[in-house]
Amino acid sequence: MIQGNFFRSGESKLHTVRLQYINGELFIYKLSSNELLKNSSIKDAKISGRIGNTARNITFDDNSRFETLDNDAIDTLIKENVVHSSQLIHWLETNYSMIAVMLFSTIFITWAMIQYGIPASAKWAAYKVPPTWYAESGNTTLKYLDEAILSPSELPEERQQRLQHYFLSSLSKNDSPIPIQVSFRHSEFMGPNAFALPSGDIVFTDQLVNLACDDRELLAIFGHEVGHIKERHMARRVLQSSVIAIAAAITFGDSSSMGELIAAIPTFLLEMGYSRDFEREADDYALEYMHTRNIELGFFTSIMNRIEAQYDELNSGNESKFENYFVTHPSTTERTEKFGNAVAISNCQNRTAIND
Amino acid sequence: MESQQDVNISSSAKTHQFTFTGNGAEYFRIWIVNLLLSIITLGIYSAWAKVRTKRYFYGNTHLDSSSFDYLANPITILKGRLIAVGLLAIYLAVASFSPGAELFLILIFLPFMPWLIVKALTFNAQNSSYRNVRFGFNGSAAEAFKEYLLFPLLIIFTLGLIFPYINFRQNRFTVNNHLFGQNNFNFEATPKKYYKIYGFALLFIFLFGMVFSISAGVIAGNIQAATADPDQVSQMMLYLLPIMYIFYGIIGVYIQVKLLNILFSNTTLDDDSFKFMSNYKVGKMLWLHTSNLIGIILTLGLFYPWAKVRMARYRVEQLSVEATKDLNHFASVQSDSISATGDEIGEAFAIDVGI
Repeated sequence: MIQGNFFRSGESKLHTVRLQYINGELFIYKLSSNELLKNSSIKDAKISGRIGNTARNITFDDNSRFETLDNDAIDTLIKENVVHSSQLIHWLETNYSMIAVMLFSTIFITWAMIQYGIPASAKWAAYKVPPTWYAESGNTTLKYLDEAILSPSELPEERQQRLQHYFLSSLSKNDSPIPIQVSFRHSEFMGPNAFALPSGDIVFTDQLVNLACDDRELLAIFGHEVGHIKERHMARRVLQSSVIAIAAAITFGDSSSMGELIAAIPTFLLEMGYSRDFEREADDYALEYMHTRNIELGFFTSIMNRIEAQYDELNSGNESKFENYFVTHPSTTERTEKFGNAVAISNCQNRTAIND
Repeated sequence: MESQQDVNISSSAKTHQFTFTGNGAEYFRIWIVNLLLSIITLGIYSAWAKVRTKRYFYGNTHLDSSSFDYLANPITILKGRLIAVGLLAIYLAVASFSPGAELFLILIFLPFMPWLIVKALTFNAQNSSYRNVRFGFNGSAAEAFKEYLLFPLLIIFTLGLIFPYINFRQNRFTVNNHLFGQNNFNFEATPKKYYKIYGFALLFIFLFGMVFSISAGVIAGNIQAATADPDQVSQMMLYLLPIMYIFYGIIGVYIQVKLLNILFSNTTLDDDSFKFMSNYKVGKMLWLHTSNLIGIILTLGLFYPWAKVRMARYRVEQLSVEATKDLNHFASVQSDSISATGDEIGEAFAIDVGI
């Protein structure tokens, strides 16, 4: 005998009842008066699966419904009558050794996906996109940056052309299937910096060009940026963060604001981690680039040290706008380690003041 | 027997308390199984996981010797999810390859938002049941268009002064269009109450801003006088920033709690026969949010099921209904089943409808 509530189809009226079963037949009697309210073959009844200790339902073909909190009795009923009711998930949920296995598998899979799965599949997908698509994509980005934080270069036309020629002539055929273009911009906001767009545009700031004591230092940076383009870092970054954002939203997402915050934290942290990995990859490319062109590796170290010194100087002011840089990039000491000691440049006239 | 209950109907009001019986450890096991199965099926199982989770929380919510149930078909949810993921992929692809164009996409998408809100509310209501009677939602997309797009446009022209009124109208739209069986819910709050909440919030922000800037100024002055080092001053400003964020968090929770109280305490069902009441407290809600967040961070997410259960328990158990009739006389409406697409696309684009 199982005690519970019975509702007729579409009626909220609660009847306190007992359920009995004999030979695959279910009988529902009103508890107070023993009146028979429903009788049905167990084959025509749908028994809901067990979830924790929430109420169990038996829905009959006329949409009337029996509901009880006596889960164990329903489980016995299912067992004794050999009726179909999916109990597999509930078995997983209550078997402690399975839970332990599932917990460790989840942790392991999460770790493996973050470490290898997501980066590898993003890389695969990014290379699947034809190079011509990338070439078409960058114009709007550069236009947008030009409106927001960049202004036209103040470098002499002749200097720009000489550098462009120097950089582009250093490229060999198999460096990048996406055609590389070099341009210069003035930017107080970015300071000494260079960046690459997926379209193959590499932009140097005047501030960076003026900071260099030797054009070979700028070539080191150029190699690094070519690395970003060749390795499709921008596209991979977008793909990776989209996957992480969707996964985090599915795992922790309920529409509460706290859920959004919780989902945002891992997305942010992982993005930072991936960004540092890309910088390392681009550095490796720069190293290879300099090596094959017989350029002293120390030029990378010398320009990086000078950039860092410059950022330190700018950071000591009231604004700390360059602080972000050190979150998305590995430390300069770590980055320059594989390039060896800085080239000593004794007579550095090139540097002009960039602080206004 | 039957006549005895008829007598009860006209008798004095009776208060029914909502209770919650879920527990963190039990939900943790459900959650971890859901999570792993969703991962190894590449997200396909997540539709079943959603139904299981909702059934767990609904089923543990009790009122007057019965509990709630969630009846959605996982296949419907899966279809909706696939459409939503497709749309999201298009959006992300456009956003990353031509920034600026996503604004255009949003403009295309925007007119459909009210329709999605209505679909989402309808799907959720029709799949929620209590005592074998389903809930329902009968708001129209046209009305939603007015409440969620047309009126909000006025915010720009009124310098935001109309915002509390719009908030009021949206809540009224959601509550008044909900049904339990064939009976309508009714929303009886006034715009005045919304103005009071936002007014207080604004006052707090203003007072805090004054105290904050004055004390920051004084401290900065003192440090500068003592060390004459501008570096230290800027450093201190950096430490003050989190204080500001915490304050805005507190204001956010204050508004959330007060709005919830207005929403529930002014909702009635079946011509005032059932009056809902909620008694959420700002302090308690702050404690729950803070401790949940700390727990989740310290355990790298594993505390999440407990956090969810703690919040659900508080949300449910502060709710009660004062009834002058018994709950026995509700009857269902027959209606066509509805696709989950609205619900799922809405979820993918993080539209929060507020209940």
